[in-house]
Amino acid sequence: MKKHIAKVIATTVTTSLLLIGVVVVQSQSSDSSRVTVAIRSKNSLLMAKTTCAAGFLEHRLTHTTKARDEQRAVFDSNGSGVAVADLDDDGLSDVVLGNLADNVSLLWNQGDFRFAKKNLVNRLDIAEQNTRAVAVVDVNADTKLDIVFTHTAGAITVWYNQGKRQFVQATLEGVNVPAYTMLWDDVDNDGDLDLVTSSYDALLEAEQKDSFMLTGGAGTVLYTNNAGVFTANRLTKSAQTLALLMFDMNQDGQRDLIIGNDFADPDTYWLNSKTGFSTTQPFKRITKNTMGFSSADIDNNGTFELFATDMKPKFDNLETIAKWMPFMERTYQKLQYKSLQRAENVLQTWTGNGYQNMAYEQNIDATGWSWSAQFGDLDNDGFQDLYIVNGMIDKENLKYLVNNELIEKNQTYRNYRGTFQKESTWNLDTQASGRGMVMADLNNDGRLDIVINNLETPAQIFENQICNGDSLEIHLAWSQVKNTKALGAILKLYTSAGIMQRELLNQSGYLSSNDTKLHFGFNKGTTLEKLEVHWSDGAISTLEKPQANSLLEITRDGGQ
Amino acid sequence: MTTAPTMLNLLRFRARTLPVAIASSIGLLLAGVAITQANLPVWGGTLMFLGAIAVPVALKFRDDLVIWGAAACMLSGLLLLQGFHTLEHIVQLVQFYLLNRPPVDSQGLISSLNVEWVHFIWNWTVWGMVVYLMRNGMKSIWTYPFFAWMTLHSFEHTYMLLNYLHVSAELGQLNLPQFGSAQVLPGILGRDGWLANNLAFCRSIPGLSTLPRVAIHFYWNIGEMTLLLLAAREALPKMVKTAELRSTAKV
Repeated sequence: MKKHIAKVIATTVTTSLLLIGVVVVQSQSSDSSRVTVAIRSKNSLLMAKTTCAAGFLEHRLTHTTKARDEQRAVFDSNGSGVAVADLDDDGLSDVVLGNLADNVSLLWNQGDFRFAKKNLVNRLDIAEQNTRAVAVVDVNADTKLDIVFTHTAGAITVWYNQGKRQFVQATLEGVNVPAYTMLWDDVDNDGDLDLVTSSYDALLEAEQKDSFMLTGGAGTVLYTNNAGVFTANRLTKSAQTLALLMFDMNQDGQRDLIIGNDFADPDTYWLNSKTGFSTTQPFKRITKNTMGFSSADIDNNGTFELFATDMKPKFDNLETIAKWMPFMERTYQKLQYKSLQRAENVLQTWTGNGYQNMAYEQNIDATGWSWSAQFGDLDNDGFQDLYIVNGMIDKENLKYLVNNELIEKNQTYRNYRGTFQKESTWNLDTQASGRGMVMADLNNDGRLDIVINNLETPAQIFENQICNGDSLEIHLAWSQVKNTKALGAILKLYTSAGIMQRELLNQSGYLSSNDTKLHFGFNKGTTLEKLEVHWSDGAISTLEKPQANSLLEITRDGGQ
Repeated sequence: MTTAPTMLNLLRFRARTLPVAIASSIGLLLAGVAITQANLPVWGGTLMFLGAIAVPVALKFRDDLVIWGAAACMLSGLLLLQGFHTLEHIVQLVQFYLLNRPPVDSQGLISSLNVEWVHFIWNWTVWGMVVYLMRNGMKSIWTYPFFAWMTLHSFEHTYMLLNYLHVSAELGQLNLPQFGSAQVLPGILGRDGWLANNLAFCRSIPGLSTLPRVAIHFYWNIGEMTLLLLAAREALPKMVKTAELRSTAKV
């Protein structure tokens, strides 16, 4: 009852605080070529933090990603992804969980961490299954978020949002190359959403056997959106991709494309320019079996770091080392001093003259058999923490273990002004074999919660109950263009404690799709000076003195 | 009265030079043929070579014993063995850094002996020999740093043996065979070692907790060999004199 009253009060306050028409047209950039554009903003207060604890509270969901039981389904061990976004515009972020041998789940957020489960069923009464990556994105630019899946085999499917919690399944015309991973973004900065897909050929070969050779292969494809029609441009003819990310590798302000491959196939790096993509190699040391990518400005110094997950156990746990031993025996067999690749996580850090891998120095190089890793300010102290999900179930490689399962705890690293330290008191050390994972504020209380899609174990939500600090959340909209949610925008929050920045990326981690709502945390007493929005076309908008503990809805009208 | 030997005198094969040279030639020839023609592993060839020179080298040590006494004889043996041990670590380093071989193929000349038990027994045996030598006159300004260095080195090998035994027990519980990589677990120092895992700030110190095991143990042995040479050079005359005094006293 109290919570209900609190909600009513919050809604009332929200309505009364509607501020429309804050327009600031003032360039803050030293680059005179940058265009400043007008915005509209709406401000509403976030919910009060009603529960306080030292860490997170676990909620088990009524969804379990099931692997197929057949011998051929060896790559079902890779599990499925998860997406979080507000699909019904009720102000609460909903959850979409991929699945393999069972149905995909759409969990409508009812508030207070209660969810109503729905399966996605098409007109032929067939439920969506066998999915890998999940994305929630406005594909047809009608401002409603649609749901997109990649599959174990075959092309992607789209579930168009019809409103009123109704979806219609469709395929995307011209998008037909088998895809395991996908990335939605305005890659060519023309105001609409392009698509990058990439295949996991080992899986296709296992599924399709010899017929895979006759299909013309797969690989990485850039689908450029031209007035709603996707034109394919194949970047590679083969791939073992588990992760894709847009990341500015050469610090030229233009985000580039990174393709992360498994099985010692080196990751590939594509520089983005007005004339198209060209390959490059910006890193001296990279992961060997890239499982996931995420990026963040971990020390608030103005440049984003790139984190990639791989498989390496921590050598201070000898029980775990023994379980890894047969696998390590093979993995380390060919490890050479001069090898570009190494089976360990990397944290690529910009030094001003190139990148340096700082994962070992930060003690985050060995986190287990790691899949999704995400950055987020979990304790609202102004610095983004790191959470990594772990575990493996594999009938082939781990047949010597009970239930073929390598059980490992997820890892939490608290960020102390740019330095990570292992955090074990937040109740996030679950060992449920996580795969896809995202962070999002599910109850609008200014704290980032965590959603994990596990394999063979119920999916989990970890409700953030840490009461440190304050926060600001921002939701971007861009009207009159087809990138309606402004994907690719970078937000810079100028505060008395320094400048923080966030990037609006649809995909990060492993097979997972982020909420469109961005979160900033900061210590209590921090003064918020201004917020800059760096739109994907290079234009900048500025909002002076944003209010702490509020949700800002910022809209830009046209402007391409 | 016996003249105290110089370090070079002590290490020379003297009257046994020709037998050692002949045995070495035959050993090298046989080992080379066995490795290149019969596909014998390098460690097998190395053992053949060592077997071939064993008798003349043993005779040289008997000479040392007769001329300069037990302590100098043991020092002579220690220098030779530790010298070969250091050579083994140099070969490992060349294999790893210059030949760019993976760690499993960078195990020196007698790779089959590159196991935790051998390292452990070797280091504590050397430690015991040094204690004996110190009690028999090997006392100089270099002896104590040498002793401290090798004690720490032996503790590192003890830590690695304990880890190996722990992992072996775990592997046994899983009904898994003992894997070769269990022999190359990190120690206290070096990449992924105890220091790196327990004192995170050490990870930023170049070398101490960043070097791979092959390099860490190269430095352990280079340091040990250097300090041993310095200690031996300084203490050798005193050791021979002590041995003489003892034998005189017995008479």
